Amino acid sequence: MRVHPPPSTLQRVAFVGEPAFEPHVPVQAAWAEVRYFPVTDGQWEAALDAAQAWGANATLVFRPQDLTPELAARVPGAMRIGVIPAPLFSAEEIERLARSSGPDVQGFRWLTYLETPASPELARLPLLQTLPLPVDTARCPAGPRLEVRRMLVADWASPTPEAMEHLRKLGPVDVLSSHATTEEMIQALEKAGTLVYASRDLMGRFDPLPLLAMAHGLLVIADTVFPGEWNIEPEDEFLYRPDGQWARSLDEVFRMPVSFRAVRIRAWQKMREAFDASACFQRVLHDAHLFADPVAHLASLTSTRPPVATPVAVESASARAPEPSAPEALGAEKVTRLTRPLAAVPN
Amino acid sequence: MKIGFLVGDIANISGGSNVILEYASRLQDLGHEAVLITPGPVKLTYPLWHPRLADLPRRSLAEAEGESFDFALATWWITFYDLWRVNARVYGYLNQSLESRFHAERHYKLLNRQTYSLPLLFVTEAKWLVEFIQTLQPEGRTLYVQNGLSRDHFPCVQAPPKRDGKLRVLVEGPWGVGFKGVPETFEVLELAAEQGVQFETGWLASSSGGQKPTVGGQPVQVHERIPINQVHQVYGQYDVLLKLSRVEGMFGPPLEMFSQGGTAITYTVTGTDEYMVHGQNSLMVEPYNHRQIVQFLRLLSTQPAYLAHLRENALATAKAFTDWESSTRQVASGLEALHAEGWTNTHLRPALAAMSTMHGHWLDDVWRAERGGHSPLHPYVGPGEQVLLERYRQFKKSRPVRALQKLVSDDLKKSLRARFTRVLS
Repeated sequence: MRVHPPPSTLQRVAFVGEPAFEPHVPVQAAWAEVRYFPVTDGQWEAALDAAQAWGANATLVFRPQDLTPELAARVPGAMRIGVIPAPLFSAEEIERLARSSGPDVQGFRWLTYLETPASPELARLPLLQTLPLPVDTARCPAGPRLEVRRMLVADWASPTPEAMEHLRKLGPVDVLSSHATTEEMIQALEKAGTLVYASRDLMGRFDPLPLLAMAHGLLVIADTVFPGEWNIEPEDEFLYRPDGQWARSLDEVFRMPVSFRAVRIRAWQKMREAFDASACFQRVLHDAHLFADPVAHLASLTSTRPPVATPVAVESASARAPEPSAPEALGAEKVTRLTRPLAAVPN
Repeated sequence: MKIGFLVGDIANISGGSNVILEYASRLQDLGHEAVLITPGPVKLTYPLWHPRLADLPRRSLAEAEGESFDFALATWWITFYDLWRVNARVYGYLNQSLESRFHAERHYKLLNRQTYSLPLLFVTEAKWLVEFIQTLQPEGRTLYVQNGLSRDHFPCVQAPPKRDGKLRVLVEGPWGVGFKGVPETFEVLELAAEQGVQFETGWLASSSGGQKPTVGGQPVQVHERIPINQVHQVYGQYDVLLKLSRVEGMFGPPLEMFSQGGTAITYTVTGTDEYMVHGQNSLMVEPYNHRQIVQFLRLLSTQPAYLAHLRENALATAKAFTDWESSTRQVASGLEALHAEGWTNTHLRPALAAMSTMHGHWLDDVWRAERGGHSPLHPYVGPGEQVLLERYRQFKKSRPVRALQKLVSDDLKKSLRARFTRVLS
């Protein structure tokens, strides 16, 4: 999604939260200078002070329910937004958010919630929009590595022992420990071609791993689906298969790769279309200003050229030399080359 | 050059057919021989939905088998499987969407993916499709040309029409095609009306399917089966197009709306990145964020200056956008370059024939299995229901339930099952 360039007053955007949220924060953005301020061992003051010292014009805080109203008042910037990335059940946390957010409060102007709120208590909060935890796709590979066959299983979302035994007969399976660091998780995703995922809940609500896997170009095979309103399309963007069918499905994937490469490519594209952290947060900030004061927002906009260029015809070079040394980067190479001339379209 | 377009239903209005007709008729104008190749004889219904339809030569596949073409282009994905029947120097695919997403049935999805399995010439209109095709089929040739905006059918207005009164919202699309999201759009509008947003609604549809929707208790003005050269008059009566389709190729309707000085609210569907910019010429929401649409409608209905900002930029976008003449020249020069180069993929014809044979046998088997009523392939239930069914199966297999089953006689089980079936059916 392309978003109207922000006003010139929005130059520095800070993100504050636990280190686990870092893959969900844009490492860089064309629309503002962005920086992540990790909160270690619950030391919010130090992270907020660092963001303040950096001169943040706007700040987005992950898990705002962890901040007392006093701490929320110390969040720097003219626009302060709390991102609630997982379902919230605690009445105490909701109450704390009610006291630390809203147009007349020295805290968060807006909050976002990962799904349409079900409870009236949540619906009463100043919710700007629905926002599942996005993924910083800029940190992910520039195309699915379609030749990779390695399977990945998370120990907290693991198939039954029988299913695991069947999977191991088909190829190497890596098990991701629940104690893995963010770095180790990313490394595991970079080595794998398929994520096999078991869950009793809808995917993505409590655990960002399936979305991260799709953004890394993995084929996700799961015994559950994503929330319907996320519009992640079963069979076209991931495979829904009951536990008993996993080995058979993987066997199909390996024997008939052409049929399932399309699924991996679409998953990788979908993450960029609707779950990209840079675009999502740019949009959040845009709408935050727009809804807070439409007149002031309109006055702050600089005029832009129409977002189209002269017609372009891009013919792929069929004479491209193959890259024998890097067969797994096939998609990445094509995508990178293709998008370069198209990037000339003004944003 | 002689260029054959293998088409499906060309006699009825659709965005996809419009693209084919624009290219075919304008290639004809440039001196090339463009032929529409249809599965069988076509009966045209007058008045024609597209003014150029009658001018173009049409052949049935059986007739075209005796001819030679420089380029034979599949269009709707099913026509890929007929490419082999035509003798051509270059086999290609005018690919406007990933049409696998149009179908719920797994066997159609799998068959659709096979249409990308040979190194054809792919002519396509959207960057996301180029990316998809080149990643999936790196050996193919890909020609990316943006669709044009027809200056004949959608002449840009000088300035957005000035209007007083309530916000005027236009819904576009047929009722019965799930991914077009029309019923969902009316649900959102109903919600907005319930929340006090003030607006009036119209609906532009190739087919209303007999539906007569109301919003806020008021009937919706229906514009049905409007010939393409009159559609702009409908767009011109509204301020904003609300279109919540979930699958698009290049996404033409918002651009057509822009040409008449209207803006659009859409999902961040594929194709939007061709020309839409949130907050500049339109407003977009991710599907998970659809409750925001009500807020946007409220904003547009209460902030005329902001609405005017979007409409002005939308019109500027349409004015700067390429037209069909330019797009056709791009396609023509791409094809001419290949022709001059002597590039051919005619050797693919036996592979195309083999794939077509497998496709035919496979569909025959699916048809037989479905008639037998034992097909595991037909998705009688959606994914959510499948999860529930799987949980139910696991529940039935659990130890306590199996222990309980052992205590119940077979006759009683049979009787209970029959009673439940009667009640539930």
